[in-house]
Amino acid sequence: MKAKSVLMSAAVALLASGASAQIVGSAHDFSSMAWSGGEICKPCHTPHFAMPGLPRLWNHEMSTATYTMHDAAGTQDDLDERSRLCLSCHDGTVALDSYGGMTGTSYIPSSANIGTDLTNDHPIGADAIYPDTSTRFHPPSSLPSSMRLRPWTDSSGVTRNVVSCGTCHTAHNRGFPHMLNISNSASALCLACHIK
Amino acid sequence: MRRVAGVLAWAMLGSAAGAQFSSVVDSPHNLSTSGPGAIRATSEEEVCIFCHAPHNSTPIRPLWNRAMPLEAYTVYTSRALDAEPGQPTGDSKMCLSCHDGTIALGAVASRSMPISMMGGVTTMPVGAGLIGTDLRDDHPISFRFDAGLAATDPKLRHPAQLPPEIRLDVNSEMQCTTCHDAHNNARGKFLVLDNTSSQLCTSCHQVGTTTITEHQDCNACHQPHSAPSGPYLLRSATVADTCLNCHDGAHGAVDIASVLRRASVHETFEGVDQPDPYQQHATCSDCHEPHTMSHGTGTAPVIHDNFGRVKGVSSSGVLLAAANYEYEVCFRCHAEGATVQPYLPRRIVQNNTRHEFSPTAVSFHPVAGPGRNPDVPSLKPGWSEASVMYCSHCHGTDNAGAGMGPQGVHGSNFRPILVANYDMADHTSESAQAYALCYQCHDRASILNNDSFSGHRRHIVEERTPCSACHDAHGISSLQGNATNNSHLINFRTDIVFPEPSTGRLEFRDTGANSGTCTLRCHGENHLDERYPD
Repeated sequence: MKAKSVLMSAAVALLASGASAQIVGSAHDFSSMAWSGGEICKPCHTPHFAMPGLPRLWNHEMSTATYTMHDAAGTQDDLDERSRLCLSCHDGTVALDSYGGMTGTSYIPSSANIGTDLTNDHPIGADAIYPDTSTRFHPPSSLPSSMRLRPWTDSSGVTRNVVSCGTCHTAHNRGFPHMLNISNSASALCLACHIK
Repeated sequence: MRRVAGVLAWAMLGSAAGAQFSSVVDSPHNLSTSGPGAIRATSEEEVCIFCHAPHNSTPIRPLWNRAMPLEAYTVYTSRALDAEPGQPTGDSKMCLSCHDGTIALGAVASRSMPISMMGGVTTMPVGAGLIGTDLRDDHPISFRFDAGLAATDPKLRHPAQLPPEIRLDVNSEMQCTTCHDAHNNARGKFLVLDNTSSQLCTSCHQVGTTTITEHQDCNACHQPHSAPSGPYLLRSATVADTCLNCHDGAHGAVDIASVLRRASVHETFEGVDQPDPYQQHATCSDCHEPHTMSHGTGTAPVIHDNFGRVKGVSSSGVLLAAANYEYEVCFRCHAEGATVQPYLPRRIVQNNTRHEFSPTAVSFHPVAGPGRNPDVPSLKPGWSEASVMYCSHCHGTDNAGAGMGPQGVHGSNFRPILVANYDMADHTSESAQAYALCYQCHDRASILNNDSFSGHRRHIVEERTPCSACHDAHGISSLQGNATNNSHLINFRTDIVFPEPSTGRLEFRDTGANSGTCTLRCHGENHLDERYPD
């Protein structure tokens, strides 16, 4: 039931956008790269022999970088799992073509390279625990269905909702600039969370 | 169920925020193409981007997306300021990165090219939003507002008493954000608190409890930005100009402006922030403290209610933070260091009125205490030898109240700011009008009937000698005069009365009640130990 409503919302968003909303031709379509062998999904996913302990049949080599988090020095443990998946390419320490057991040489271009210094990036993971009630943030239940908070578990085992890369961005293209989940015209995406 | 929870959260949010919330999207700070203001982008759709960016911002929190301005400001100062504002810091620099007019509105860190603005606007255009780099006419910012400052300046509340809406930064510094919330324009001017009753101002400032309604509105006289006066942030260039905005006869307030156009006035044109006291000129606030004054006058010698809490100098010369008596206010300028010279040339010259009116003086009009003379037969009903009087019984508006303006030592057609005519020319024909000032309290018939000095009528009427030829109205200090030669305010004018030629003496001698001798030359006649009564 819940999954169905999410799907319906996504369908409505697609219709509303009117833009091309598919991974083909998007910034995440690497099929024209020589190293891709013409495949689109494979740099991230594989139907078999996926990396153990990771969701989504993950196929890309993970980063082991330590980060300067938005709030303090941090480690991979400070990131929610989904953000770690994104940063396996976007922190610039692992080549795009390091997947499926290969060690690549083609790194992410600077325009999309977040780096390991996250101080000038929107906080995610441990730095962005989303409050259930606040005068500064809309309640989680009011967020658009495509803008999802993700679980992050602290060292004491307590799990909280946090802002993840995927709260704002989709890897698969919904037809909005910067692979955003919704249009940011009039800063609608920012203001979906922030009461400003 | 989920929706109900959401509604509840919203309700809680509303009450917590004081229910005065308006999105930045609907404010002039929405510089995107959808913004409601005149200053907006040609095509940029994002609102937040002008100040914040999710990636590639500066490292400054909160995801600050603009270059910070150089610290090259001229900061606010005044002689009265206890706070120590330095170069802008913290959030204030963020605000100034647009509002000082040095950095283009569309120049953001996350973009290689500035965002294009309509009308070719680059930096902040001239208008209310342009603060500039000269902050001398703006409310001070970036100073520590701590318990120490509150202790030094009793006109500031203790910072712990600030309402929750008014916040200092992490360093206890007052910033732009103490008064303004850049994201919420629900109250106008992005204020954090409604200021229609000056609540915002008085959250920090406790300047007094004036009962004059018009004086309770800070904005009537002050403006926090681009104030014409600079120091003290007044709405006009000087204190007087600010007062006269209302006290001009056209706005219902007491008309002081017309009085200040008379022949003899307290000059009030001086700029703000002069040394204290500035004895060349007076300004309104030297005598009236607008935040503590109320309507009404007092009973001599007690200071008037409409003076408020103003500084003074006591009869013994002590500087007072709050004068108790009217004359103490006058002594601030007309005692030590007075630059006003005596109006008439006299045998004994004294421009320190504190000495002239001292209770230890030889003879004086009873301002700082009852007079020395136990028998003054000319006194009119209401006055006695035990009475004390105000300076303003003699000095002030001419014909006050008779459609000629308010009382007070503002201005008069009679010099020096006298409430009534007082002819000082030699050979003046005596009349009720000629010495109207004296005859206010001293009965003309009694004087001309020689009730005290047996020669009054002969001198004043027949010889046409002005009162001022013999009497020095203020008094004669014990530093210079003595009880024998200077009782009865005797201090001869040297332009009318001269030494007796054969002896070179110029003196009066008091020889007891209503009797004495004079040795002098006057109107061509010599007196040599001439005795009265005859």
